[in-house]
Amino acid sequence: MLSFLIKRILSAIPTLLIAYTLVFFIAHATPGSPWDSGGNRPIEPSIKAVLDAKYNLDKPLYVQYTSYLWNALQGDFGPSYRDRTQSVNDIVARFLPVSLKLGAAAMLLAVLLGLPLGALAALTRHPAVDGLIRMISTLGISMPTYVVTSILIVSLGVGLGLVPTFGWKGLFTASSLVPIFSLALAPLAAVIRCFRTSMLEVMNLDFVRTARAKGMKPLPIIIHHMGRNALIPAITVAGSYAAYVLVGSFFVESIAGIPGFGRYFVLAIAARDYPVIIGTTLIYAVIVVVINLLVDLSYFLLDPRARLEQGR
Amino acid sequence: MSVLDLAPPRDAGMVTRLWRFIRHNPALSLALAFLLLVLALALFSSFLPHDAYRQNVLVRNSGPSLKYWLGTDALGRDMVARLAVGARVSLTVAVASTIIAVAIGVLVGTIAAYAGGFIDNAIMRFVDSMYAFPDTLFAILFAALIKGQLGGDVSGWMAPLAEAYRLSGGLLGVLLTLGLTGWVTTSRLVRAQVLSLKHAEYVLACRLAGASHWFIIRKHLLPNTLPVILIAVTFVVPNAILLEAGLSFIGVGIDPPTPSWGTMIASGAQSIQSYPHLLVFPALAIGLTLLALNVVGDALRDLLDPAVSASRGAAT
Repeated sequence: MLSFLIKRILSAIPTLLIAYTLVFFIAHATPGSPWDSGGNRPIEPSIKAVLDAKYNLDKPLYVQYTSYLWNALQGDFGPSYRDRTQSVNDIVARFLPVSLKLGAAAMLLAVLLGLPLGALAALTRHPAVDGLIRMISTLGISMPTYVVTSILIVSLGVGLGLVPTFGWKGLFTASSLVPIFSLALAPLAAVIRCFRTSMLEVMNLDFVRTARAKGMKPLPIIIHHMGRNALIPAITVAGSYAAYVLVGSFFVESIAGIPGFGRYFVLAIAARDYPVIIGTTLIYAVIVVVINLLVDLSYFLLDPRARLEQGR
Repeated sequence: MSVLDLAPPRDAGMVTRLWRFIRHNPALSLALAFLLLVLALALFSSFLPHDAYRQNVLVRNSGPSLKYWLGTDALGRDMVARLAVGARVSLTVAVASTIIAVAIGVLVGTIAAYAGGFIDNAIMRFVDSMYAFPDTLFAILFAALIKGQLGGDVSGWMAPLAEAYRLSGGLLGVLLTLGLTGWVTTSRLVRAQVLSLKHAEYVLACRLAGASHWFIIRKHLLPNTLPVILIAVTFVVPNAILLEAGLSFIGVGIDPPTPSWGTMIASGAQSIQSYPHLLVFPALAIGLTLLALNVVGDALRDLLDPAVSASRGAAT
């Protein structure tokens, strides 16, 4: 178990390094400097030189590459060029929690609703119920978040006046309903789909038949025998969505007016705010790596066979 | 029962079988019909009663009416015409970027699997790190780069490219972005398939008979990878349409005044309270198109199920 953990963490290092390199060079190859976003008046060359010197932009690219990496490893992602009074760390601390809260709520909704619906679709004897659930899941997979968000806001907000059409007042207010649901729909659909398929596969296996023959009640069989075995693929799928959802969607956040991380990232690209772009992407990549690790660890918890194999 | 009945039934023609499959699947027929409608709109958008670029300030933001079927936008341009031209943009992007992405994916996947060893390891590690990003994020970065490089004043060897970029209204940038970022899944699928074929006996026999690597890849590996490639296409096409609209929505995709579903949604989102139709119609257009593509993709994947085709391959 421990050796597995160490191996996984070590193998994440080259991945993160490649990710950093790609983003660093893409960001720096994009023309325009962070200082010329101030409208149509070009910046005074002497001021530009001072700014460049202050932020190390006058150094050769490889110096910038290594020094930024060194600082980032110590947890300092540099100053923001756009908001010169703030560091990237401040920005992350201010915008990431909003996205994280929304994303966690959305993932919770997706899993808590997706597993029962997927099981129901697999176990039901009514083709209509199965068909309806499958239709919902196809719809959820197909609809882009911006379509879902805008249709929800138009129908619930503009039409019925149930939710505000714009803005953010906190997680436990009506203003978070539309964004949470829009974020949750795609992972929900994927979880339903995946859990349905794997439940169907498990349904007719020997140990399920044995349990039934022993006279066990259906619900414990579904939960302990079938569900536990069918859970792993569903968790993998949920994990692959979790990173997207947790870090926040630009589309959802900008349509619904949420001051989140996803929205800030795109604004940073437009402003050539290199440290924010690179820092954001690195944090993103770290979150993805951590979530993948958690998914792998969950195999150990759920599947004794995985533990055995590792013990050998 | 006579002996004749035991003879295998004659295979119905491919077209007949396909037609039967479509007829017995109402969701699939609906999806295909919708896609045909979108295709027709895209191809014949110039025959519509209004022009997509013609502004008429007297009828700004008007709702659906007999004259303007789906209303007009903030500059008084006909929504139907703009949606139709947007469909043309979306379909062009989908087809062209899929060709680029799948070609790269097949090339990379085949090389990785066939070469094996260090090359395989290096390529796959790179692919893994591409997976560490959501494709949206990468595409946004890439599109911003291309837009910056080609959108400004460019001289030297890139000048003709920049000219083409301007003429296409940003379409070229989107194509390149999606083509260069969309190949990752394809390469994984193709690699897995080629790996499983690589040690097949007929490949070994062919090698022993003195065939070159290129010959084996061309004659044996690629044709046998075709079902997997088709499956990859069913993932790449909807994703390309989704991302094109997303990039245009953010402002690093198609440039105005060329209509794209993404830019239409973005500008519609700004007047969501007063003129919801500006948002709802393009959102429905892209939502339904993606839904239809997914339904068709599901059906295609059912038809091409690798397990089924593998058992069929073993029998013959």
